[in-house]
Amino acid sequence: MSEETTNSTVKLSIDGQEITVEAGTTVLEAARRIGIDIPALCYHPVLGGAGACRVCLVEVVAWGRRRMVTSCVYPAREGLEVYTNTEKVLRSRRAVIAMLLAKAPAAKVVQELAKKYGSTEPAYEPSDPEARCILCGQCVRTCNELIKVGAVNFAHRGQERKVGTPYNATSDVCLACGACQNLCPTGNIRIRDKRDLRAMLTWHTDVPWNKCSKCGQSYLPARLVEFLKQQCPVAAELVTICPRCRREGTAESFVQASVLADDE
Amino acid sequence: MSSEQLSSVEEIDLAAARRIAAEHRAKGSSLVTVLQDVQTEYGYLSREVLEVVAEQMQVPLSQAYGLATFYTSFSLQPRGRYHISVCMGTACHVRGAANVLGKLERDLGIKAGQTTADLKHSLESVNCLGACAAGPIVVINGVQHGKVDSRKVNEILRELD
Amino acid sequence: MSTVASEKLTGFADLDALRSSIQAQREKIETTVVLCGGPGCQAYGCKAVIEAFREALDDEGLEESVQLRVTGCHGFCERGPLVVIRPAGTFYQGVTAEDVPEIIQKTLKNNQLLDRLLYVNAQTSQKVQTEKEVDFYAYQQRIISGANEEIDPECIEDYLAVGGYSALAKALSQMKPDQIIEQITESGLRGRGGGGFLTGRKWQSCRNAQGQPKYVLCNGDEGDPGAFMDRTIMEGNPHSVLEGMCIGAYAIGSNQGYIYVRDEYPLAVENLGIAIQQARELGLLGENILGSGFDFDIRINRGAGAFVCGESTALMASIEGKIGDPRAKYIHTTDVGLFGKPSNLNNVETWANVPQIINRGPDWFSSLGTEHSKGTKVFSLVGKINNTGLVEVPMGIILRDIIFKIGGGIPNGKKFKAVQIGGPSGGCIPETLLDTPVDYEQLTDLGAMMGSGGLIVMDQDTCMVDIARYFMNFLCEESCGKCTPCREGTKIMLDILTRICQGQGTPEDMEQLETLGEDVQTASLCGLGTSAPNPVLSTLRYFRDEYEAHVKDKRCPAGVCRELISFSVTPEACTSCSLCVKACPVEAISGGTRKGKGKERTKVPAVIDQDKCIKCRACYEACKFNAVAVS
Ligand SMILES: Cc1cc2nc3c(=O)[nH]c(=O)nc-3n(C[C@H](O)[C@H](O)[C@H](O)COP(=O)(O)O)c2cc1C
Ligand code: SF4
Ligand code: FES
Ligand code: FES
Repeated sequence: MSEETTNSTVKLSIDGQEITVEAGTTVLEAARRIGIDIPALCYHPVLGGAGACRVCLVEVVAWGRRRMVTSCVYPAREGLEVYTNTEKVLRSRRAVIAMLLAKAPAAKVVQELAKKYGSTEPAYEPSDPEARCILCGQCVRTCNELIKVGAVNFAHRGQERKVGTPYNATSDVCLACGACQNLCPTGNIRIRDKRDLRAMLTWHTDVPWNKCSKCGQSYLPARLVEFLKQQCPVAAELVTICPRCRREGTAESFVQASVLADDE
Repeated sequence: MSSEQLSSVEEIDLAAARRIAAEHRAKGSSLVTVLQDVQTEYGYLSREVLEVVAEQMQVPLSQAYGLATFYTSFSLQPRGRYHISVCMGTACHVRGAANVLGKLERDLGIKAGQTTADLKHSLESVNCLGACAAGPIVVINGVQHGKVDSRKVNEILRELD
Repeated sequence: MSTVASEKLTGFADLDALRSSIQAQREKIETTVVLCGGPGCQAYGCKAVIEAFREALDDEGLEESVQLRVTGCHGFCERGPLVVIRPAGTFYQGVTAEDVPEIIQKTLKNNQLLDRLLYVNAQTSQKVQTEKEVDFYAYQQRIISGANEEIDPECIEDYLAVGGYSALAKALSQMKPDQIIEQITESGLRGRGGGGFLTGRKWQSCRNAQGQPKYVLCNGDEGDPGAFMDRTIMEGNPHSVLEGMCIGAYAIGSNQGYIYVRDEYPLAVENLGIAIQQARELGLLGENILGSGFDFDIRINRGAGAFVCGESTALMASIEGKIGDPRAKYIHTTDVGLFGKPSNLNNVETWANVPQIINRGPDWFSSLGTEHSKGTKVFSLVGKINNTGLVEVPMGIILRDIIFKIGGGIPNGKKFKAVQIGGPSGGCIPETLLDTPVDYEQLTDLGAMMGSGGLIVMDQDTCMVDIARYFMNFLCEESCGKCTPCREGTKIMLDILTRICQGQGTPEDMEQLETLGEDVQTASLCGLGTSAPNPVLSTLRYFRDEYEAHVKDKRCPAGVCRELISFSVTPEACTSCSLCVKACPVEAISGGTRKGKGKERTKVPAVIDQDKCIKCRACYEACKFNAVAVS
């Protein structure tokens, strides 16, 4: 069979291994597909990469020019050569990890990367030993691009840059859906489910539970239920019922249906 | 002042923000532009104003807050009657701008970025104002003073009532 | 001001006719008084001079026969306020409002020169009458900035009178888009905003890009501290930028332009706004320009105080109303730019070059300059230099000539130490390399870069470690904070440099600066981070001895770093005038007074109490007898 690639696919080599992928695939995704591990902290399969954390640096040779790029956003191109483990790559990666270790000494992923790449010394004396946030921005992108609520965002810039709610105060719009916690690579976002409410501790926001319209049990934050009703009015009734009652409801109608069938 | 009066004062206040935002929305202006014009109107961006703008522009408050804190020309606090900017551009720096700023900080008893308690002076250091030829430059409410040194600071401050 | 009423021009012949009628009318004017209203002259008080002229001409009933023209920067800001009287071209410098009545009586009415306002050439010590003879201008070639004197920026007729919009008419009536791009490419024009990318090639990419609409953008963010070239073009000759953009838009296939102007430049915003409005009224912007069927209009966006927004992707984010975070440019902005559409961004000066090239041809342009750097470059020459101002020189001129022949060397008999070129991404060039020509590649080879055109001259009193710290502080504050190496790395480097300036540095610190510098260069996302270490690395390369003096001997050779210096009064030189005593903000100075009366009167020299001294330099500046010493 000929090795020719079609218009919509490109062939590249990563650490000597050849791979053909659809155009538009990033180098990071291509590498992962053939089992080459490149660390990535601001990348998520759903969100893509942000090119911010810089741990995914690799060297590429394109158009005869060798340079360092972030694999999470670099598109795979025909004939591209990628090197993920050169001395240069490792040096830069170590330097970046040492900086992250100083910024967020309590972040597990960072500690693990530091161990793996041998940069155990933080780049400077950490100012907060409990700090976890590496400013990868995944929570911001989740809340703004996926959930489209925008309860949290970046504020300030440079050294002062933070993620959080406006004025670092209680949010009027946070749904307490917890999606941000799911995508955060460092475990920085703390949520506590209490009797009456869900406390988004990191976002200083409490949202009371919605009570199931059938059994009265708490099951989802009230704002989230309202949000889902608006998003999908046809399912409005469905989301006001807790999962158990819904399951039971389904079972009941199934039983009813089969009873009816039996009758015939 | 009774709370009723207070709220009516705020009503009038926020009307301007609402109007500016609505006009810009119709023109398709960016949120940065809206915040600039709103700040020109109020002198700074209070939380209430920011909320109104976000609502009118139909963007999350977090986005407006993000912009207001990212760009240094926005201020979340009221500024003094005399807003003093000291140019910290390279040309002014090599001609002693740091001493000028130091002198102003000592004389006014505030640091760059702060406002005096009586809201008379606020002080900020800014990046190059593009009048390097006459540096060090100090600008007070838009009026430029060139070749400023410690002595000239005394003169300038004396002129502000 | 507007002298020729005109309706919308609907054809190329209309434009020619309008131009001829303006020129004919101009010929009747006997005398023109040209007043510089640029930023430098403003800081020297030119507003009062302008007012004085207005009133006096009115009072004298001369407002008909004498035309007053307030223009943008003439270049020689050092000697502002500047006044030029045409047609003789008499050049007066350092003019005050008090001089105005005499200028009118003597020069305007009786053709007499006012000796005291004439400029004395530094080399020959000769007084000269006209601008042409002034040494500062002699080595310049002012193809972009020269027109400033002919133009009141609020008056489109002035621009038309000097041939304005003829390049646009030529492009629209005689040239195909591809032909325009060809000519720009052939001319060798490279971006004046820093990177030096070939302009024609960028236009071609954008023209070839898929997607509609396309945008052309003008970068007027001019963030480099110490640079004000773009400001003077936008303020002084805004139509040249509009005309360039319009030609570019036609070549690329765009109907909408944006100009992003730095927030600190309100006058640029105002003048550009007026210019756009006037151009629209004449049909030089808007729909069906000059009846050609081509539509193009321009919007202005103001920056909001963020240096990083000069970077192309951050600039576009800012126009979109977002925070100015850059993004990786693996997909070029010519393909995916503003609002996700193909976009072509050029610097102000780049755009201003375009009409010239279209009118005078690519061969003319490429005859100026070096093999790979063509045309002229406008620099702002500032710092410790005699003739501060705006200079425009052909590429290839050596730095020494700019500093000594045009700039007149270093004031107060001090010694030249370095010239900083390329802004915060640039580097410091020492005396031994001053014969380097102005050329993109050669400057980069020295660890500096062309940048947007700030030339900051430093003398023996400038501490190079302090300069490195200054730039690092600037970049640390201006880093957007998105990517790790720039956000964290600039902070670490700043801390190290601060330590060194305070006399607490170690030899390892210098090595760490170099390692970290390289790491930040390779790992950062945008140009801000990748070039942030340049000022440190270039000073380490050329002025290592100064670092070593700070680190090993705990000494600041230039006498700048506070923790390493002390002030003292030389008793023999002290005249006991008490100026320093008054200047000291913390009452650290005693003595400095005179005791007794008549013959008994004795001088008590001033003494500085080192424990109280906060090293603010106030006494050093106040002393008129050089009696305060720094050690
Ligand atoms: C941090 C940073 C700041 C910049 N600031 C400016 C600026 O103020 N003005 C400018 O014209 N270009 C600036 N640039 C360069 C622009 O990104 C861009 O290359 C340029 O505007 C393109 O125009 P040109 O090809 O005509 O030079 C900056 C680049 C970086 C990385
Ligand atoms: S290099 Fe600096 S300015 Fe550029 S994206 Fe990174 S943090 Fe922002
Ligand atoms: S994963 Fe690529 S930069 Fe963060
Ligand atoms: S501002 Fe007048 S000469 Fe530059």
